[in-house]
Amino acid sequence: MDALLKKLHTELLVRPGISIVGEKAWSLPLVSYDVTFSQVKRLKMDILMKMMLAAFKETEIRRAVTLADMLLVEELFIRDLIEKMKRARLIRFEPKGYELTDKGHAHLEQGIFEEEMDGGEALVFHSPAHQNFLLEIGEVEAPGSLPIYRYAEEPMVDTGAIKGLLSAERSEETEGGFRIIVTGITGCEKREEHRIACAEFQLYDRDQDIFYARVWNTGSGSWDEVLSKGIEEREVVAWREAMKK
Amino acid sequence: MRGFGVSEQALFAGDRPFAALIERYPSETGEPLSVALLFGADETARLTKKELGGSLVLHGVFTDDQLLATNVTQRKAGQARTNWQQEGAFLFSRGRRTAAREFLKMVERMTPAKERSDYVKKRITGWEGYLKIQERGMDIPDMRSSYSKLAFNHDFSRITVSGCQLKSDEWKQLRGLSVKLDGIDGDVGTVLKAQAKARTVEVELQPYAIEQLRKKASALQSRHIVFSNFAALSQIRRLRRGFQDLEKGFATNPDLDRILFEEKPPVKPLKAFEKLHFQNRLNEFQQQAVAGAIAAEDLYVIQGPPGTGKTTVISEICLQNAKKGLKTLVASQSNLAVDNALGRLLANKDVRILRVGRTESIEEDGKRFIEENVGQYWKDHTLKEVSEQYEARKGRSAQVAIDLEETEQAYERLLPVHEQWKLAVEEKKQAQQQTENILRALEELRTTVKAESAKKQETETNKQKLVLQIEELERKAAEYESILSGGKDVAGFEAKEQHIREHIRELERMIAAKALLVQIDAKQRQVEEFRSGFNRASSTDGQLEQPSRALSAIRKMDELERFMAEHRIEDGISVTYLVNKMEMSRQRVVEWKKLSKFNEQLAAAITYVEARARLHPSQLEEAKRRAVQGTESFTGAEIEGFLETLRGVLKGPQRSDMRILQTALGELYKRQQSLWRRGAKLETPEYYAAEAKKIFQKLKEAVEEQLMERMQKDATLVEKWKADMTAAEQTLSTLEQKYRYLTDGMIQVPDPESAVREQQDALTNLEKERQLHGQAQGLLEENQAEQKTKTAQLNETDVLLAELNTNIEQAQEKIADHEEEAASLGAILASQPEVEFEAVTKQLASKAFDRESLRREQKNLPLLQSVQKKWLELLKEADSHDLDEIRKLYIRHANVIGTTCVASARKDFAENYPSFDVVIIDEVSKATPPELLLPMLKGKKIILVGDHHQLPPLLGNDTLEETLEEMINEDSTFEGKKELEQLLAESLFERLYKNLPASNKTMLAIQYRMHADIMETIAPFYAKEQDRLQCGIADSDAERDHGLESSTVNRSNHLMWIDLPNEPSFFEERMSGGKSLFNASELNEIRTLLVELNEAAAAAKKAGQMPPDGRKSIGVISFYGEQVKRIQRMIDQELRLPHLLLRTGTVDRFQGSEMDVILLSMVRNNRNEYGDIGFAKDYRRLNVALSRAKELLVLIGSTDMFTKRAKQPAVRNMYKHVLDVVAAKDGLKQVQGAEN
Repeated sequence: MDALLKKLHTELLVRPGISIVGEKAWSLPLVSYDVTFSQVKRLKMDILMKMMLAAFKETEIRRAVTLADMLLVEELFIRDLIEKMKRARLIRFEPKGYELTDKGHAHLEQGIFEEEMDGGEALVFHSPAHQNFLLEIGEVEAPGSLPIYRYAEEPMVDTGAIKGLLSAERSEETEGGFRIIVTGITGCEKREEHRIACAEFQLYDRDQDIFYARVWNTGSGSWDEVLSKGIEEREVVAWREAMKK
Repeated sequence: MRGFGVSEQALFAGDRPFAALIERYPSETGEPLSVALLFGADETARLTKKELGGSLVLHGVFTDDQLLATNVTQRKAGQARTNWQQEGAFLFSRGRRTAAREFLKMVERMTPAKERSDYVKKRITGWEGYLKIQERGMDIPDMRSSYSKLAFNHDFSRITVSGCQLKSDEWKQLRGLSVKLDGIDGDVGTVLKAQAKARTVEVELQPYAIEQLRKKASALQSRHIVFSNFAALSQIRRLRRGFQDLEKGFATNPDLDRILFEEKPPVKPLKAFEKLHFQNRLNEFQQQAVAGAIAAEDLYVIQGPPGTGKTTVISEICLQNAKKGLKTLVASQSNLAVDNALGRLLANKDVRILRVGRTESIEEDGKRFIEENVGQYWKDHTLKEVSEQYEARKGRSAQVAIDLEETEQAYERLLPVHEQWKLAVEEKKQAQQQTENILRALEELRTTVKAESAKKQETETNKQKLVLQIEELERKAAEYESILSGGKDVAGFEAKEQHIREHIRELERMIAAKALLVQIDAKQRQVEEFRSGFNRASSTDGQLEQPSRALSAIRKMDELERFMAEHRIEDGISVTYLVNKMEMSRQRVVEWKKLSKFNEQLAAAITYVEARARLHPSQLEEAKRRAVQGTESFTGAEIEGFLETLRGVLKGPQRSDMRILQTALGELYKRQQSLWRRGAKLETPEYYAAEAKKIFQKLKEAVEEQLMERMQKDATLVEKWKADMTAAEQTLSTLEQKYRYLTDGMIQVPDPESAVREQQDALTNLEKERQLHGQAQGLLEENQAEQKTKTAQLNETDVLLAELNTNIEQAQEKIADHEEEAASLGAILASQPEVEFEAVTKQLASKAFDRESLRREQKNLPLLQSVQKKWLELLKEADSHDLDEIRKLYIRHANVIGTTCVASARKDFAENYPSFDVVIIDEVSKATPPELLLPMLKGKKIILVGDHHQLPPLLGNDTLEETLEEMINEDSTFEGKKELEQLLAESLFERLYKNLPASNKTMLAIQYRMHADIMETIAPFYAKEQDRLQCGIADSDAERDHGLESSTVNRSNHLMWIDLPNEPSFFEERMSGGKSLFNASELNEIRTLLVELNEAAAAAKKAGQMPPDGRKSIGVISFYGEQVKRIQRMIDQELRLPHLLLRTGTVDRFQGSEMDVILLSMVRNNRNEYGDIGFAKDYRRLNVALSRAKELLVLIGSTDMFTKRAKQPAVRNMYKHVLDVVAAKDGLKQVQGAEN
């Protein structure tokens, strides 16, 4: 830690006219959750095509515009896809309207078919100060001696955000045109609280007469914008007043 | 041809025509047409039977209407067709056949490629030259260097790279280059400042690079930096290529060059306006702009002052185009402007927006429309629409059942009403028929009455006449009777006639006597006249004998003249001749005497001078001879004058001057000779005396003769008078005798002529009376018979009248009956059952229709609902993978493409989108013409939207004008200088806007941004346009209420000027070593004001005038960058203003933005001699500065400086107007200075 601080010091003081007027070390509270979720496996199929196959199966549709009005979709799109499906022999035009071929029926079946999968589990981290959710953080547990971040907020579980995070991560995994889809969050248990060490520098740029803050977040391994902005907004004016005295 | 391995036979071998492009070369009139035939790759292969790797061009000339091939060349394959090439199919024939007439005519009509190109070239040399210069010095190879340290500024927007290892000339080239750092993906940013001495480079960072740098900067392994100019250079090249394409004729609209560069843009007339259904709510100007833009064929220009809803218009045009199936390009100079325009487009399923460009430079508003996100955008939009419809239809099933029930009931209820009205209509029809019959009968009856009445009137007139006639007859009968009973007979009449005739004869005699008396009187006067004539003549006879004797005694001329005057001798021809002759001879004598006197004087002078001149005799002779030969003539006066002069000379000092004397002598001889010549023409005086005597005698004889003639005449006259007198006396006595005889025993009557006329009348009357008396008995009998007849007629007439009266009475009774009947039908006719009937019929039809559609809906509803339910589920679940196909479809059918001007010329873009039906360019005035040209090249139709009363494009930190002026000054040899200067004077947009016909442009004249008070300050900038700038906000005070109340600002204030004194303590200051200016006292004013406004906003929240979590948006702007920097620093570092949402920037950067409140720091305040206010003098900058605020605009600066000290009067007036408006709105606040 000392080595890191030293390095950060030098980095900050590279610029001439900069002086460090205050320096603080504290810990940022994080919460980890054990999240359980449901998931299915499904053949990758475009939704509009799937919808059209379903519609042709269930109703008599003779004209693209009829379907366009039902789905509130551009007629052009419908016509393009009808052509595409006709070429692929998924549908054919009959006197009563479009009908699915055997191949079409099979295709729709596949598209609708969802293979139930065992529920998944994941560890999700939450930083109330950043109001975000992460799947991993740098492995830096702060020493217990450090005070807690003075503007820390209460944690708030947002299942929508967690589902979004998990879906984005899972959807990458496709195998043979199949995709795994997170269908819902089934459980969210708080596991433990974490402390991420942060180094705060209060700086003064003499040349420009500017006070500002820098916070090194050991968790993300970067100068944290959210945290430094939060401090600046609340304290810069006071630092100036303090300097005047 | 052989060179390319082609035999000319190949041309004729073709069994089918060759497809080729034909292009005409320029030629003077009279010169033969020359053309090039450009064969495509396929046709070239057909000709050469092998792959040539290029295509053939056959050049030829038309002679005698035959194409003569001159040579063949090859050109690179795959070149695009230009606008002056035409496609054609050519069949070559071996015979000497002439080309078809139509074909030759077509070639003649073609625009020659080069001619047009030259013309465009001339107009665009300026811009090309400008770009050439920009390109110069840009071709810099990448520079790589190691560095020692990276240092970030306070907000991570810049880094300072120190310890760079570069050559000295490389340091100079760094500014503006893009920067790459090893270990960081993509360009990090651009060089802001390079200091060779300190070996530091300051880099402005790209937002996407900052994130990486926050993390990695301290851990970069390799410390290497690369500077590159590739991006800037390729941009300039792209701009240049735009001009080249225009020259080569690659513009989608073939007339683009002419439209852009001709004095009067040759735009085509607009198509007929069609009825448009607008999706947005548009004011009249916006509607006009949209309708015009749709109807225009090639170019339409929209001038949009601040806040006038330009984007709404663009949105509507895009939508209208989309409905027509047209593809639109929305381009603008900056990414921000493109994103702004797209972001405000109306979400509509007909419009498919695609934002093309580098993802990292696209702003939030535009991000939705980039390729990766359009699927998501489409999903969001569709999901919203479908769920709205689905939700709305949820309760629909029950509702439809209810509605259907109601509709059916209503239909049933309407049926009897309908029937009832139907009957009423029938009844009315019958009544109408009856009324018509009655009216016809009435018409007949009235005709009868009229005819009978006329007959009655005629009969009555006849009766009247008969009565009068009978009366007359009775009167006549009485007369006849009285004549017959008067007691007169034939003898009585004759006696009376005799008496009258005698009386007449007597009167006629009296008249004759009267005439004779007149004759006598005249004759008497004549006798008197003759007598007095005789007496006069006798008295003069013999009077002339005495003078005749006196005449012979006269010896002198004057005596004779006196005599002639006394006896009135006339100047007859002989007398006059003789008198003149006498006078002439007297004058000759006088002249002779005068000449003689001069001769003596001259002779004396000659003698005198001869003696003095001392001439040799031969010289004398010579002088005399010369004088004799001379023909000069001299008057007496001249001779006298000469002698006088000579005398003077001889008395003076020249008297011994020989030459003068000799000359004088010559002159004297000449005069003597002249005198002698005159003397030779005269006789001697004695001769003239003798002649005068002879003439005098003749004159006397002439006078005597005249006297004799007169005496003779007198004697004849006396005889004549005497004879006349005697004759007249005899006639008189005869007349007197006649009169005496006639008047013997006659009675005198005063006026016998009228008495004769009276007697003759009496005679005529008497004759009439005698005849009447003879006829009276017969007449009386006739009269009595006629009376009898007339009386019978009168009786008949009375009977007829009685009959007619009865007829009329009966007819009128019938009329009254019919009228009564018609009146009773009137009530039915006056009613309007048809209207009701029609309305009810309509209602019935509408209910039937409703019933049908409800029944259909009832039938379809479950199906539709189930389909949409499924659709909703699918949509909700969909992630980006599920939308892949949609995304592809969307991109394929995208019809509104947004990109920057420069990006529209990128290779990949050009490949995907070679042309557009419509190109809309927003914020045109902010782009340079080369930038504008790039998107314009792609459009069949171009719509320009801008405002030339706002700021022109910025190049770096300078305006275009400044850069160009600098360039012209630096390089005087710059060839396009003149063109450039011309372009400078007026922007492309401004020129087009001014020169286009009214049909191709619109100014949006209603603004919706500013409070009316604020708008008033910029109104003069638009005063010269056709329409005045108007405020579209109905109630400015209510809708633009800022809700703020502080010690400086009242709620009623919307426009203020905080006036700082023009004193040293308030003056501007210059940065040490910098160009930019700032003003510390204005900074203080702003600080105070911001603190006040923050508190006011807090109070407004408490009072409920602002939402509790709202923040008042305030822009603090200035003409100077340094001032802006200081304001921003002050806000960040010294103030906490949680109730305000603050943005700062230069006026130039704020163009296009709007804020609730604007504070404008004007900076300039000095007492310099020149009254320099720098940037602030440009009216366009002031216009931008004044037009950003919606609710409150506060100017902070010295009014004296801007309204009194500024150099140009126009600038002073411009600010004076602002001050006047501020003062009128009670917004002027003085800051107390030290001096007063």
